[in-house]
Amino acid sequence: MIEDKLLRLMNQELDGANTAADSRALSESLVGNAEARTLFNELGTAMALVRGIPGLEPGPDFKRKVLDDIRRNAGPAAAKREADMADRGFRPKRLAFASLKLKYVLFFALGLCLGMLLLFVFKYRSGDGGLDARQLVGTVADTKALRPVDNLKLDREGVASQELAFRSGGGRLEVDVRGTAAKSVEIVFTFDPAVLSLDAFRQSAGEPAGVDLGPGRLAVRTAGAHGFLAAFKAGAGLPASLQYQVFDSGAVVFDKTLTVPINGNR
Amino acid sequence: MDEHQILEAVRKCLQGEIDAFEAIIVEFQKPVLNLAYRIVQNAEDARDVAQSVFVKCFGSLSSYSPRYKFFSWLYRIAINESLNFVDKRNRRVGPDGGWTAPAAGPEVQLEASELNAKIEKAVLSLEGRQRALIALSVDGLSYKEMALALDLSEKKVKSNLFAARQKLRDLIGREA
Repeated sequence: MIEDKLLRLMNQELDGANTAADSRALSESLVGNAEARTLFNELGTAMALVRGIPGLEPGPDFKRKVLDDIRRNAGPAAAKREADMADRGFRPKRLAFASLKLKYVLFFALGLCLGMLLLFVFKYRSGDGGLDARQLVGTVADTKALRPVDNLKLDREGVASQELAFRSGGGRLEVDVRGTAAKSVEIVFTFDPAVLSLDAFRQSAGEPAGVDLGPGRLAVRTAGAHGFLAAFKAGAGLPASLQYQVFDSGAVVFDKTLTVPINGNR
Repeated sequence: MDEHQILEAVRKCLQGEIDAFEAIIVEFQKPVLNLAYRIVQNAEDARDVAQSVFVKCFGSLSSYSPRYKFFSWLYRIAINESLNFVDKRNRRVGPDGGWTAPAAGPEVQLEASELNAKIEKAVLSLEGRQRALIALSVDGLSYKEMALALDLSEKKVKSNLFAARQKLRDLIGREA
């Protein structure tokens, strides 16, 4: 039976991890222990045999093959990633999201939750239901609970086709805009901020919209078949008026003021 | 190539200079190839694995942290790639990898000796992680470097390496 300490010293010796004192202690132990000596020699021989297997030399074209492979696979992928990011208005960066470690992702998720919680608390403490341009996200109410109040289908030659559906009820007014053509237009809503305030805004998947929000004004530049849903919340002083204009290349192509009875206060 | 030069090459690669990766290939092609060879135990397979290691390495450069030595990180990729290859091959042709004595050719004449063939077969009989440990040990890595490359504690490295070495001794004794 070979002691654990001796086994440890033998393995460390084979791995070149023994101190001089350890090596000396091992030598002394092996002198009087034939079983340990045999094992040590056999382990050493086994490793020497493995070490003695001739290694491989990379072929002369190894480097070229690897670089060709990289150019074929990684090159286009990287270029596409950069192009995608540039299209979305991001500054190209090499750090891919997938490469972030889990802890950073968790930190980000935690930060996002905290941010949303603070936003929620702020919104209800301040009593100001309005959002600024950075807060154009949120849940839009179930439109089935709202009553249609107006619809517009704008489909003129040379002008993008846009459908605007207006619904109201429960102190809210929602505008559902859907684009069906590739051409973009600008839709501008103006309203009395004492009566109406933008409560939530959600855009459909696809190209991002250009959004400009000011007091009593919301301008959305649609892009392609992009659509969005805006929810306005009514304050005191019903009914509410909402003017909306559609611009094509800076010229007004539609202009209407909608007076909407909104049932109930917020 | 020191760590500073490696970092500089990595930085250039991340800026899109693919040619900067050439220096990294030249520096590490032999150790990576031989590490793969010691794990997959087949020259042609090892070449394929090594090639794919470098392609993966390039694709993952943005996740490399200079806190670690580059070769430890690269070895880790090489080990994973080799073990994955062995797993797939085992599922396809069985645990001995469809092992046959290497065909004689100018490059593999030395491998063809009977003893070497037996040793290769013995190594191939080890479980994947043990095989990787033996390969790293042959390359002279410290316990700490092995632990980093295999994502194990140093204590685990020592005990697994000890077990692998004993098993190898038994296998070679039986084969030889």
